[in-house]
Amino acid sequence: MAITYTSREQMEVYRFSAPVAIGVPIAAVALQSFIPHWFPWFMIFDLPLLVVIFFAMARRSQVAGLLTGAVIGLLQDCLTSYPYGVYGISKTIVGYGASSLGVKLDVESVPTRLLITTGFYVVHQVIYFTIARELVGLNLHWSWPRELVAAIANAVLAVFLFALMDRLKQRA
Amino acid sequence: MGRYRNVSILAAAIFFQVVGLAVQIKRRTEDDSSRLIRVWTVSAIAPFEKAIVRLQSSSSGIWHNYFYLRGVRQQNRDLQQQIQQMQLEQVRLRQDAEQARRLQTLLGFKEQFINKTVAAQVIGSSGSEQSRLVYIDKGSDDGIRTGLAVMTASGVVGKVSNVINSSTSQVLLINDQNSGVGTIMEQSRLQGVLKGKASGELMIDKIMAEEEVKLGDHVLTSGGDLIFPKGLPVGTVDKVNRGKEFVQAIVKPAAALNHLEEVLVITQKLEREPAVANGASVRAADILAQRLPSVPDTPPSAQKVANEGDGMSAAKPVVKPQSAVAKNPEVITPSNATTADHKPQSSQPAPLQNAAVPDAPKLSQPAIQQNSAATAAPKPKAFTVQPAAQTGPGSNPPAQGATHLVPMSVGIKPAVSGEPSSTGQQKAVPGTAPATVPKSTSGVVPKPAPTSTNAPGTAGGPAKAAPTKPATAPAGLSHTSQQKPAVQGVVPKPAPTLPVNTTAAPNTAGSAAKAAPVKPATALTSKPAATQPSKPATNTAPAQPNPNGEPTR
Repeated sequence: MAITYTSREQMEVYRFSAPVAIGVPIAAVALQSFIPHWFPWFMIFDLPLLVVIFFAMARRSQVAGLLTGAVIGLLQDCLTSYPYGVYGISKTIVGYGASSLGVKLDVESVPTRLLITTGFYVVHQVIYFTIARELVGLNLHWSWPRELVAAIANAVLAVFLFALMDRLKQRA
Repeated sequence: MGRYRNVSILAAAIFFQVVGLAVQIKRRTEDDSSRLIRVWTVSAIAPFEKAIVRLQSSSSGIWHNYFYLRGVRQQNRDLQQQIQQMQLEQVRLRQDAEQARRLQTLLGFKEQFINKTVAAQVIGSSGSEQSRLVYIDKGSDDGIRTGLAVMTASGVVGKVSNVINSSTSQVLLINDQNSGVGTIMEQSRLQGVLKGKASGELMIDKIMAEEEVKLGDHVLTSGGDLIFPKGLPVGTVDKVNRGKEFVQAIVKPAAALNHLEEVLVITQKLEREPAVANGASVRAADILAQRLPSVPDTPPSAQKVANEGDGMSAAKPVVKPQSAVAKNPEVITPSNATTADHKPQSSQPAPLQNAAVPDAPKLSQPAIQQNSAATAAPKPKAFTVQPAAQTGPGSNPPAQGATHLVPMSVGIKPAVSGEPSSTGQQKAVPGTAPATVPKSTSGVVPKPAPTSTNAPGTAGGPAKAAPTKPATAPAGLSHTSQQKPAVQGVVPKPAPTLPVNTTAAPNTAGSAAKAAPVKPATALTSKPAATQPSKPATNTAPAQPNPNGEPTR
């Protein structure tokens, strides 16, 4: 099914158990730190971002989405040598946007997830690069082809990952 | 207001993070200490990563160490061959290093040495392409501190940017944008700061356009950053981007920064002046010290008696008292050749060793093995004669490769054995001078009395002085079992290298031993020095005091 407008009454709102709500983001950050050490090509993926998008869309709460994004982003910042907030701000905005979109769209279908993830990845990267360059003063290298490829790769991974994580959802 | 609640919260969240970011950036220059939240996060994640790494390494170890052994024998053979080649190369490099140290000493240079390292395993990374750092499983408990250099056998990796806790640290890689390494190019000697680019490449920029940067030139640490010791490999120049004013060199890292597994953290560096001098002689002494025993000191009175015995003060240098042996343990006399106790090498070797040492490392591998074998087997040890030529005007400086065969000293006085040997009645073999070594056949050399060499006839033997000819090969220097004549009146002093498999006793001496004309010893090995005619000069040559103040021959 394609992207459709859905009334609030028709939408399913999900919640997650505490272990899932805490463990999955931490696991995502840990795997993002660990896997590229063995498989450097994995760095093209952004597991924490996918988790933020998934939680935000599933909860369909903007506040929950932005807070989820802020926490996961700050956790990711902890693993870098840069100041806290670069990933935090980016994922806060993405979490807010994903939850906002999840309120209005049916985000259960695969095409929707592909498109949304692709778009939010690009948005995330634009925000991240803007902050890193303008606020932190980093000299980052922006490459549209690279970012688009990474966006599509993340979208493909998101389809499988979201299908897996759907099993962790509980009806609210 | 409720309508904008979510947006307000979003704005507040972003605002606080931006403010926090600004505060951190401002403080960053003042205090780069680790923040608590970072420590907590890494501490929460690191155990999982460590567990996974250990599980992976143990399973991989079981597979590779017990099951997948295909090709291991061939690999072993290849490695053995490689070791042999590298040993030969090491000998050559050691020579160069010695020379360099001597020059550095002359110039008053100070060297930095990597004194202590801690091996660590990489357990994770930042997970971001923009922040290039890794985490290692060593922390403050292992002596890790912020700012320590990290390297692998291939080259420089980075520096410790943060000690998270007692068992985890953060290492900033050299290809991170925040990193900087003082470097120097090996050939062109251009210095610069190596930085990371956003793409993960390494670059040295701000090189003046007129400078020539060679592709493939090795980039080493310059030591100027006070983090990395000088001379560590960093990489090679892979690409050169020329601008109008500056040149930018792209450097390919020597270490596999994307595949780091184990690293070394340099926890201690030492700075000292290069210890040289006598480097070669020390090495020769090392060899001797390892392979031959020494003797305890002889009381000075014994030496005095020995010197007074013959009344030939001019000939004193010919004799090597035992005390000199004690001070120069690398100088082997018949006595210390048989003594069981082992003395540490002297820090001030005799000049002879200095002269002869440069050849010592040129021992071929088989020779070294033979020496080792000779050491292991309790064979009687022969000894060599110190070239008197080293001290006299008629000296024959040891030629290249002549370490083994040092010209014997001549101008030899009648030999008198100091002590009757146990065999006692042995006669000197023609061509074998009655010498201070009373026992020959067994190879066990009794300790000669100090009076033996300078007091002719005092040992009870009608020894006669005999005309001597320059010997071209010292006794006991060959690798064969052929007997070698020793020189009468000269306490044999070994060359820095050892005789191997020599069963020939230097001399037969005893109370009935007669001095026989000393024939030139046969050079069993065609060393250059062995073929040079040595001049009889030592009796008249003034003694040169060695660094210990002992007269040397």
